[in-house]
Amino acid sequence: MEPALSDTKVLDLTHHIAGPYATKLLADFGADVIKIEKPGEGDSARRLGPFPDDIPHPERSGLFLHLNTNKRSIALNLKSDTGQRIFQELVKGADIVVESFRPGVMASFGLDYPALERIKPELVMASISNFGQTGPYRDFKVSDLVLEGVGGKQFGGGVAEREPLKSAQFMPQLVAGLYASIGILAAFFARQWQGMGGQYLDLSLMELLVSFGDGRLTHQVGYQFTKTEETREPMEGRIVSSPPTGALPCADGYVEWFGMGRWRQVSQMLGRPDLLTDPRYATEEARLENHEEIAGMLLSWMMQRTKKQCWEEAVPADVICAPCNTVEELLGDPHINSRGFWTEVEHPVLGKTTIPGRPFILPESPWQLRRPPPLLGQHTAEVLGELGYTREDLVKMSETGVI
Amino acid sequence: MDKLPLEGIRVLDICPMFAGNFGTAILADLGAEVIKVESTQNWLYGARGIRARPTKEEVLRASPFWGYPRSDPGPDPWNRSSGFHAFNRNKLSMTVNLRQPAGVEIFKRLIKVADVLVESNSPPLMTRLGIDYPVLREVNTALIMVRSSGYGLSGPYRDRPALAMALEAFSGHGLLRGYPDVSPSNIHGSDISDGCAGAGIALATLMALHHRKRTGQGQLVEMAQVENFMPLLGWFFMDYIFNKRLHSPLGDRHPSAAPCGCYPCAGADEWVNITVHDDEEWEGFCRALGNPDWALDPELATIVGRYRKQDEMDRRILEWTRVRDCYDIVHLMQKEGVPCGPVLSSKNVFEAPQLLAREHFEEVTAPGGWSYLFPGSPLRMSGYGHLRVRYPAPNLGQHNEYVYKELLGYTDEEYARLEREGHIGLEPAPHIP
Repeated sequence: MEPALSDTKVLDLTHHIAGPYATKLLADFGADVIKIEKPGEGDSARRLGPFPDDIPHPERSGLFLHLNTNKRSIALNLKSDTGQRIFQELVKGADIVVESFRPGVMASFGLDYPALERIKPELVMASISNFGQTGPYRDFKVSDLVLEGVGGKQFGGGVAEREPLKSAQFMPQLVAGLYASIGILAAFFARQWQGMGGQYLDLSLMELLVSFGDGRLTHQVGYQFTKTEETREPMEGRIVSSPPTGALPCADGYVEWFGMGRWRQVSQMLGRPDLLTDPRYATEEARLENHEEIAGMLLSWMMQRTKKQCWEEAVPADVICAPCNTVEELLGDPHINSRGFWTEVEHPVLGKTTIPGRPFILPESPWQLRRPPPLLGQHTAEVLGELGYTREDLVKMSETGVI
Repeated sequence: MDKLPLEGIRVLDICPMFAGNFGTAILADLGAEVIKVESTQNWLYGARGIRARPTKEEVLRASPFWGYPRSDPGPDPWNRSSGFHAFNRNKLSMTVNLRQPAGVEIFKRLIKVADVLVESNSPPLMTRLGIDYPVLREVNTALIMVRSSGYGLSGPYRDRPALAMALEAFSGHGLLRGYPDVSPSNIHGSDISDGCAGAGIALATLMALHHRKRTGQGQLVEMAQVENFMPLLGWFFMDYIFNKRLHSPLGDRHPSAAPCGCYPCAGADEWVNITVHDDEEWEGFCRALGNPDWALDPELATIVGRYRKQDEMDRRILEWTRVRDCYDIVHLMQKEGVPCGPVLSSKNVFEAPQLLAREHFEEVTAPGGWSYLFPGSPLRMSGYGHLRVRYPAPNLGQHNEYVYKELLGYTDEEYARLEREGHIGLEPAPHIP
């Protein structure tokens, strides 16, 4: 069976996290993604780790491996005339170019969209940058944390007494990369099937995050409607609902509950149908008034049970909850394993390792692990050979640092 | 006029809340005709507000998450919830009662003229309604049906109900995001996986559409929202796979850069983020602060030393930031090459100079007449300019005439009958509070 994008050729000039995740999603569903790396150094993610036994090695970064499955790598110096010429030749055979340099860098190579459009008018080209190609912050530097803050998610995270809290490491960049991949594929779709020509996408990580459709968007439109800002809740006396909503401790960890409006179900789960006729808990106001007693009953029930047991007993009562899993538990989880999520990859340097697998299932045009993440420049000879370069040409280019 | 990427593609949306609605919103932004299939007989919790007919007091008490224009429920509160408007621009709304056989027949007629169906309910519902993929495929063999539940269509947890915060807890984010010194019980969970599910739905749909253009073949697309989200925690998984290491939450700190934190500024609840990745940025950071004595400590000249002395540095930095304006700090730091930015709230995001310069927001007027600024689509394509809101989030049943009469060819008499039978309507049935 052919994966969905097996007819799509992508030149990938992205590095670090957001861009590579966007192109990985395309590569994993069949696109031929040629990753162009700087000779000698390669993608900066190769230096990010985690590394087996914490020993840094450019071919052993777990993050790089995860973000670059199914891609081919060529090492090409885009600052050299020959490197630029080779890139232009590659563009002729490509559908899509994605880059994530700082604004202006592609122009300094003579490889910005106007230049590439002349070579291939039907090219789809996407630039992924921190703030976009224009505007007063165009050249500003970011970190993962800075992106979380300008992306509108951090402010409402955490508690009122403390500084706003970010998501886990690299989340904003991966989220933005995921959203970016949609734009890139949509422009390609328009060219293939809607009679559009080539076009250029100016994708800003900040904008991809600000417009992201989780609670931040609800709060932004909520502000527009009510002129009331999102706030962080106080740590002490945080009562979202009764029965409680949030993470509560049990015998072996935490369980996340959604108790809002679920008193009947929670009473049933606790094996206390008598509570339903108790006037102290008869109305929502009364339950909020007596929230400590309700939380106390739930907590003492939870302390006699593990996360898994809590969940098992909540399901038949139609109470929404889930265990707060560690990554270790997820790697051993029977459900996730029964679905074949985790994938084995055989890597030339690292050997066999497990990596996260498909985000969704397209049974007729599936996610496939066709090739392991590439070594730096592993496919230089292969790809340049496809362009007609000979072994002698390659030796010469290698001596002059082009490849 | 150039055709939008998905112009001519018809998508039916029977998603209850956020995740699926964001997915179809992206498809609608890209030009698809997205029809929300709703019901006047059955109230979906949260979709069109806290309740169908909340009181004025309830609306005033509600969080801005459930905002109503000028905090007024008005005569038709089900058309006025901000949560609905956030996720349903560019869509049409029709009503049908899928819990009656006649409603299912109407739905099947609609499936016949549709390209894509997106749903994000718990799996048994489709079976209960009699609209599983095999049934719908009989009606339209080229149909793309996207099913996005919490845990997918197979496996022991298949039928378990789920919401974003439970899914993030399950996926590992719940224990990885947090302050190192605050219990998870004291922190409200994150809902970022909702957005990720929506984005994944849009991406999967585009891929399936591309496959269909190439082969004529439809398919059943399956997303387990937990699996769609877990790859975003890949760094943590790989460290466990390689080194059996389990990470604890770092708050706003970074596993290898220091200082890295969120610091208070002079204004009330105003915050600035600063990260120093390497020695070059450290030197820039010191210049921005005017090279204070404490920064001359030789231990701070190396990343290892800075990492060790984070608490001490944070106290010094905080003293410096708390008397300064957030944007002054940002400009001072950026001038010296230090990553730094404001922490934007749901209010001051609308005043962010970068977003204003790039005209990120646009004014939208709701069918009910009030106007608001909307964060635009970030998918900027030179061939289209900004992908603008072509029409605002629809009132309940606003497009019944178009769907029933134009698309499905119902006569005026049939239309009147379906109105009487409770399929077609403009407001939730009186029995819904």
